[in-house]
Amino acid sequence: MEITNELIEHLENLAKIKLEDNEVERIKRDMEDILNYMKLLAEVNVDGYDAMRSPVEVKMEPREDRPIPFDSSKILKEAPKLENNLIPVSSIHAK
Amino acid sequence: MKSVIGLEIHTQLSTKTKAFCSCKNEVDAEPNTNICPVCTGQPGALPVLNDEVVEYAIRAAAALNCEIHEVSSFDRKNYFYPDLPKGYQITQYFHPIATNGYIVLDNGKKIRIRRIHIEEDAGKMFHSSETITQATSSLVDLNRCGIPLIEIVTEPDMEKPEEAREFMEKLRDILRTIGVSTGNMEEGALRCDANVSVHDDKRSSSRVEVKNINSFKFVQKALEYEIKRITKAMEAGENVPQETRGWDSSTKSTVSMRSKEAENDYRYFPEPDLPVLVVSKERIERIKKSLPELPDEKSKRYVEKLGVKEENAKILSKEPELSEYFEEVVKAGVSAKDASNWIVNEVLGLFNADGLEFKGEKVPIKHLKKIIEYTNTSKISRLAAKEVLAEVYKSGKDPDEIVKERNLLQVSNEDELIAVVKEVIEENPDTVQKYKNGKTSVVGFFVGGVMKKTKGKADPKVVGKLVKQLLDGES
Repeated sequence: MEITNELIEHLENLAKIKLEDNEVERIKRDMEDILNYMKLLAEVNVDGYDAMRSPVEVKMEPREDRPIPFDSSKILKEAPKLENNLIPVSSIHAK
Repeated sequence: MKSVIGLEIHTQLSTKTKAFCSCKNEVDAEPNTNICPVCTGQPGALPVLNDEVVEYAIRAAAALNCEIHEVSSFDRKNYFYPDLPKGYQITQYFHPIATNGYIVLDNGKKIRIRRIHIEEDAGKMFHSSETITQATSSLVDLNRCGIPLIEIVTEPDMEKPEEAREFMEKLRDILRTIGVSTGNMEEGALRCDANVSVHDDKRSSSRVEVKNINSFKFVQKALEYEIKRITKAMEAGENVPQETRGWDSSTKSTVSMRSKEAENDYRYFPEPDLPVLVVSKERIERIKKSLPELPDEKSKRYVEKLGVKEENAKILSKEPELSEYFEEVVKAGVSAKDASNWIVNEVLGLFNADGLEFKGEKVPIKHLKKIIEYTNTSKISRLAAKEVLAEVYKSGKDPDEIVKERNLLQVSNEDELIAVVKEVIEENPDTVQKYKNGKTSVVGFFVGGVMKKTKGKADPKVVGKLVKQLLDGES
């Protein structure tokens, strides 16, 4: 897969970040290296093996449906501001 | 032009706690009180699946005739939005818990369900202006983050907006009957996105997705609007872009939200914090066997076994509370025919007039039974019975007390009535003449007159008999 400038731009949008030109070049190189490294996997012969969903053999242990309260003020004190216990955020769509 | 409709439905599950943490699943709590490190995405916090969510999802899948998978798994759907503090939603993208189900509509048409998967809800946002595009700021409540949902995706098997509405109503009735969700669309416990396209022999429009449909009525209205809009554009030779549109219930129209080009790229990948979900064959079988009778089966039984009118049977079987009430009334000794007619026509009428949901305790079964008995034995007139029922509904008083207070006992004693009948006959010599000329249908007129004078308390059967006796006697 070729890492193009369009792809980088798409990823910038998804990650909500803005890269400088020199950073774009560096990231393109990094990503190519990573993808090339992953290509090693394609060389492994996996004939006769089932697809693996996880490297560890752990079964899901669901919990009981019983409420355990948590002191929400510990989390809310991390918010920069609160309005009537709601967290204000700046505009989403308005330009 | 023909339309093709498919639905994506999200249902909140009525478990006690959230999907992946032990916070209360409570939609109307004070803002940001039911939150913890897991549902607010604090670094290092790990999700643990709620077993009841699995139970409810399987129950829903079984009731919707799905194939239930012993092995399913969770994935991350990645996007940034202020109501999603983790930056991803945990869902089942690659291996959903159930596939290949269906609901049958009343006309016999089968609407296939492609898949059902478990996922978590996002937080709730309050915008500073009417529309999100005008809002300069928003407020976030994270109580809803992590509330368990199942998403139900249909095949594009519906052709008419009313089919989509019927599907949604049937789905709600099923979800309520099996007790996994309140199914309340207005409160957001059941939400529906609709995909629609229009085509004729020659051409076909792009697929348009309509979001924010928040009532059963609007499912139909939004689709009707959208099909009309697309058809008009096609007939004018315009291009219909593939896009997402939002239903605006205040203007009864849809507005463009985003085009296909801006469609999100969610980069799904397996959720590394949750092992594969394995449910045993035995558990699936146990859940299937434990399902209650579903609305359509129940309706059929009411018609075939109890002789209830089909339209009444359909209404009575919709809600578990209502069907239980009906069956209790029958068990108390009222005939199924009387019970169904009285409940559907009279009792539900009272709740509907107030815009309320049916609550059995407002009309105690023993009271309703008495009212029906009194009417059948002509102790009170049908009109008086309605009055008594309305009063029971309002105050909860015993019917006997109401009948006594308002003096509603029907008079069927001939001696008491004969004077009134004579009075009415004497007051209407012209009508008497008509009767004598052979127009026997005027008997009803005299009976009506007597009913009026006795304020509805006279027994019309006895009055009719007396009227005829007197008129025939005179001739």
